[in-house]
Amino acid sequence: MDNAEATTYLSQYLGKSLRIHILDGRIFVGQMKCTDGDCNIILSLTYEYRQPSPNAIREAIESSENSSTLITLSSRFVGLVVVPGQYIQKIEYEETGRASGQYVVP
Amino acid sequence: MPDERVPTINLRLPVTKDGNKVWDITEKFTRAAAALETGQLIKDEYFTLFESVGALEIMDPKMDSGFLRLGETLEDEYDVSRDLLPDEVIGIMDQFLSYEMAWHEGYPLSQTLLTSLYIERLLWPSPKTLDDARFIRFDGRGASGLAQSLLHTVLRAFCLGLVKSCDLVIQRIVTREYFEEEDFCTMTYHRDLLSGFPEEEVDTVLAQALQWLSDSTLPESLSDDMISAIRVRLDFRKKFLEAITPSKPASSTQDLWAAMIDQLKHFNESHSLGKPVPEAFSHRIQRRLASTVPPRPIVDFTFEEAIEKLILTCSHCQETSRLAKCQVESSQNLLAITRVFGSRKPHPLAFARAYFCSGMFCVERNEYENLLRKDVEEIVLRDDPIMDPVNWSIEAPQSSGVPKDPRLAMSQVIDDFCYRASCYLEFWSALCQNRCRMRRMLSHTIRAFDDLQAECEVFDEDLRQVAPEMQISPLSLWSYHQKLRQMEWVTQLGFEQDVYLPDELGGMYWWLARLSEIRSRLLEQMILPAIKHRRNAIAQNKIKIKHAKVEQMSDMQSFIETLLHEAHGTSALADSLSVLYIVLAYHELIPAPPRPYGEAALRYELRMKPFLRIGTPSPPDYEGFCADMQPCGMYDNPAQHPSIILAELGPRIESWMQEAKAAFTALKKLGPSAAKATGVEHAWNKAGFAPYAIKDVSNVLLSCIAVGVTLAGLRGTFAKSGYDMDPKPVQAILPEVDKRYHDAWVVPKIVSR
Repeated sequence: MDNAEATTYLSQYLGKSLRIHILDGRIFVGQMKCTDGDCNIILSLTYEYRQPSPNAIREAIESSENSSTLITLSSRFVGLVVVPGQYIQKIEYEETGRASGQYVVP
Repeated sequence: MPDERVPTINLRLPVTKDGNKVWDITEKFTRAAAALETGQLIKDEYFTLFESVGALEIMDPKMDSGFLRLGETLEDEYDVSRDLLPDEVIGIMDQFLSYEMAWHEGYPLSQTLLTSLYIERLLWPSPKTLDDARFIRFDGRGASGLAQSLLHTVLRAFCLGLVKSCDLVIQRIVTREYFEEEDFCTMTYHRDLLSGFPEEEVDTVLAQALQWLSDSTLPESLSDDMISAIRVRLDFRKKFLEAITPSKPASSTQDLWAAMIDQLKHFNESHSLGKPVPEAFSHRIQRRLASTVPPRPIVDFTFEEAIEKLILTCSHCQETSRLAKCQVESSQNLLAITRVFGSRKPHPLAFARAYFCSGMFCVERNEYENLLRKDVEEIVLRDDPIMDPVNWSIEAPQSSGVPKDPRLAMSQVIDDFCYRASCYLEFWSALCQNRCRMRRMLSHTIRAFDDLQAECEVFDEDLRQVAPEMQISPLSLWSYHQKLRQMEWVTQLGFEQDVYLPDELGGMYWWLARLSEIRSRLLEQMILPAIKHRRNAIAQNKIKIKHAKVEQMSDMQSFIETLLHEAHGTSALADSLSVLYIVLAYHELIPAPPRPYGEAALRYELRMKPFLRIGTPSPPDYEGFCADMQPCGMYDNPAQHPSIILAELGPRIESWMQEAKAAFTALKKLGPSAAKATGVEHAWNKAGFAPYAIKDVSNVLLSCIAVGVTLAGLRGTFAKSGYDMDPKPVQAILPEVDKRYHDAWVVPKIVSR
């Protein structure tokens, strides 16, 4: 991928909602504001999601008496964050229903 | 450790709407990023580098509050559904009270109440109904057994009452007219403190819990002391919530506050019945709050201290309630009340001050205009045709050719003036702040009043056109008087807060004397004669206002006389003290710190900073100041022999002191009702070390006597041991703020070395 192509590709995600999974298991969901060559990503209006603890999972299963149940992740608002590229495990683009701006090619 | 027995589960993100597509772009994204050149940024065009500095760096242990160290867990082991013993319930309740007061003292919620696992369970996820706010949600079992009822009925009710009252406290503080509270932290970290639920609902829960306590047959093992300790704590929460309910006027809560104070006095005794449960609080909860800092330690606040603060706050609120009942009509009276309240010691906490403000003032702007009009009336325009309420009922003529009714013109000028005098609102706000902030804010309002005074000349000119018989320039006079008073207060607050160093006190008292002197001249030569003139005019029926009465004018006259005595006394006592400090400086009895790099002229400028931009009266330049402050040459190299200095200046100290004494005695004789201090007479009548910074007149009189004693001590020492002893046999000691007769009057004491 040459520089021009990379620039175009990355620019289309500006202002779009990204989900970034990091190595310790947390997920950050926010709007992309900025990125650089080291893949450091700045997200705004970010929420942090965390896998529920084993205890919480066990409790939820016990209470619902169903081995396949839905548990909401614990979340909190963290605002403007920068996720350093070295900790990023997975990046997901979330296509929101509203067609805002131009079409994104994933 | 991850549990292997946990079966596969479906995880979903709650924000994702059904049907939205999610693409894994990891590989392509990283490849694209790697193709960027060093230093190249792909960024939103509105996103600035400046903004990016504020971003929190994830995985940085100092910035990322969600970062867990190896082996650290987010969850706490404590089980909020476990059975509680009655003594543990008392222990937890008392711990809550300590944290609540720590928060009132200024600590953030994250380090106090929100560290409780019980509260966390109630508030997160946000309950949709009050019924949702329980320790265990979706629990079909229901509470059974004493231990569970204690938990789910009693402790839950207590927690809900506590959280709701925190919500009301925040509301009360942030809805003040001038909100800039630096002594209190309103941040709730994205937790909703039951703000959506009406206080009546919470009140019902508390009432039910109390009902349960009295109805159910509790086991014999539960002692009566224990039951009553729990009951009184619940009842306190219920009363507190009721008292601070916004719809309840402050004037109707006096009995409630009194009852709470009575209850609190017994809290310390029953505190020993409780058993602390430290596991129920954890600093780790902060990781789950919307906080930008990693967890900080939980605040340590003792129960005794908390109860003391709580009793104090309740008594301040009770005082507000009593004052609100008085139905204060006069703005001068309200001013006296506000100043006395603001000077209470120990100083009222942020909530007590907010309660006072909402109890005594209405929020509408209109209220301040009325207050302002009353203020002007009471100082310069009492029973004057200009302020006749009829003027505001006259309509403007339909056609422009018809001349305007002069009464309408008068009311319009006054309205314009009120509109312009927005600094009047700031003035009141300043008086409701803490003492230090009050001094800083008043330093700003005096500038605004200086500007206002200049504009008032135009308003006065307009008034003169429609009321040619007017003797004075009322609006300029009023704003000048108002400004001078505030300048005096700023200087006096400086003494109270020990802003000035020992060797600067003489100069500052000199400045205070100049200010009060100008004000007393203003009152004596302009305002008082005008009132006497109007009084005579009313007596001879020359003024045609319906309600004008000679008695009212006499009241007015005695009020202005109290102001005059106060200004005169202040100026004389300040002069006397200033000269006393000069004498002490010549005798090298005042400690002057070494200032190898300090410059006296710059220091003078610094002390006069609040007044430098004031048109009149402006502080004199440094040379003029020095000439007045050093009548006998330099302090370290006097032109005259020290004996001559004392002989020359001593009589001046004495005569001024006598003058001050006479003025304050006259003020005392006129009494609090003449001075429009109804409602706060106790601050007047109590001699000795009253719990107010603005103390009673008798305390100023004691200060006058103390000046005499110091002078006599000085004379006695030198008569006995001569002037040239080295080292000096005596030294001057400046009493600390709590050891002075009056906080604003620092009278040095002469003691043997």
